[in-house]
Amino acid sequence: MTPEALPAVPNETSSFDEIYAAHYGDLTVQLYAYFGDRQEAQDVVQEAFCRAYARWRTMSRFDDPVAWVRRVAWNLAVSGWRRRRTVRGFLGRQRPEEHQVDGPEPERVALIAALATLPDNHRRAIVLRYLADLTVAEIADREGVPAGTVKSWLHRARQALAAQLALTDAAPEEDPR
Amino acid sequence: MTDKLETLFQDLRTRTLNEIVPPGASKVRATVRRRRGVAVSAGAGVTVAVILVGAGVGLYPGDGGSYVAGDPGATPSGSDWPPVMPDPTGPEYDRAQTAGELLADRDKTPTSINATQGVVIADYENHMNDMPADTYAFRFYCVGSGTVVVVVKQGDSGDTVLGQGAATCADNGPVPLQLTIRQPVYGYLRIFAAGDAQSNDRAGFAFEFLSTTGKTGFGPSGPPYTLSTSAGG
Repeated sequence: MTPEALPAVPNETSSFDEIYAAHYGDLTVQLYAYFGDRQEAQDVVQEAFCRAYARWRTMSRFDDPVAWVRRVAWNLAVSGWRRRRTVRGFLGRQRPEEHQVDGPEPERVALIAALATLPDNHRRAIVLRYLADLTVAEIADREGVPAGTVKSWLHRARQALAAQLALTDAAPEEDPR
Repeated sequence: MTDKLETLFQDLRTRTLNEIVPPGASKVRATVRRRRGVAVSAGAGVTVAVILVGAGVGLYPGDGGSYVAGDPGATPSGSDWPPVMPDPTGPEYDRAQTAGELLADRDKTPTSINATQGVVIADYENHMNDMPADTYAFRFYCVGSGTVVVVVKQGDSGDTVLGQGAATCADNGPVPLQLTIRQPVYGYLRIFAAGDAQSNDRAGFAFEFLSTTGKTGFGPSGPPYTLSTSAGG
C-alpha cells in the first residue's frame, strides 16, 4: 500500500488549507523573532501543522484550531525540537541551494540579534506583544503570571532593546490593555 | 504603541512575510500520509520494502535534494521551493505515533489535556504553561524497549517535584507510568523525561494529563480551561 492510497481526511481539507495559508507566515515570523533562525522557525511551524493535520478530524471542530497550532508551535519551539540541531545540521547540508536573495537589512539583523540577548520570558513576551498582537492580559494568561509581571518583562525588554539598538524613545508606559 | 520599536517590528514582519514561501498544505498532507503509510505498512509485514521506498521517495524526489515527499501534481516547481522541515521517518517515529494512539480520545475524554508525543531522548524537557490548579492523572506511555525516568516539576523554575517514576517501554501494550499530579496554582508544569541507553533515539513516548476532578478540559480554543460546574462536565 502506498501512502497515497490511504484515505485522506474527508471534506476538511479546504478548511485546513485556508488556515494554513492564513497563518503559516505570521507564525513563522513570530518564531523567527524568537529563535533568530528563520529555517528553524519554518520547520517548527510546518511540524505544528503536520501534527494538526494528523488529527484534523477532531481539531476542525474546535472553535479556534489556530490556537492549537500556535500552542503546538510554541511548545515545539521551547522543547524537544531544538535538540535535533545536529540532525538538522546534517540535513541542511544536503539541501539544494536556495535561490539567493539580498540579505536582510542591517536593522532587521540588529533587531534579531538584540532579541537573542533577552531572557526567554522577556523575549516571548515582546514577540507575543509586537508580532502576535496579544494584549498584556492575554500574554499574562498564556504565561500564567500576573499582568504586572508581563508589564515588567516588556518594560525591561524594551529598555534592553532600546539600549542595544540605540533608540531613544522606545520605552513608553505599557498600554494597559 | 507608536514607538520606534513598533516600527522595527512592523518592518520585520512585513519584510519577512514577503520572503517566506510556505512549503504548502499539500506538503503537510504528503508528510502525514507518508507517516501513516509507513506505520500501516510496517504492521503488514513489509517494513523493509516500504522504508526503502519511503526513504527514496521522501529524501530524494525529483532533483534529489528536497526533503519532503512530493505530491507531484501539487508542486509547481520543485527547485524553487525553499528547504522544508526534515521529514522524520523511521521506526522511532512509528513508535512515537503508536504511543500517541494510546492516549485518550479527546472526543470522548475532554479532560485529557496537554498531551504530546515524541521520540525518547536522554534529556527531554517540556514546559506546559497553561495548567489550571487541579489534580491530574498523568500517564506516560513508552513504546519500544528500555526505560524512561520521568519527573514532573511545578512552575517555570525551581525544584518542586510533583511526581516522578520510571516508565517501562514495551513494543506491545506498554503499561503506562501513572502519577497523580496536584497542581496547586494556575501556571507552569515542567516534564522531564530521560531515556536509558536502550530507549534513547529508538523508543517513542506519549503523555497526557487527565483531570481527575473533571474540572479541567481541553479548551475549544486549544489551551486547557476550567469547566463550569453547571455545564454538566
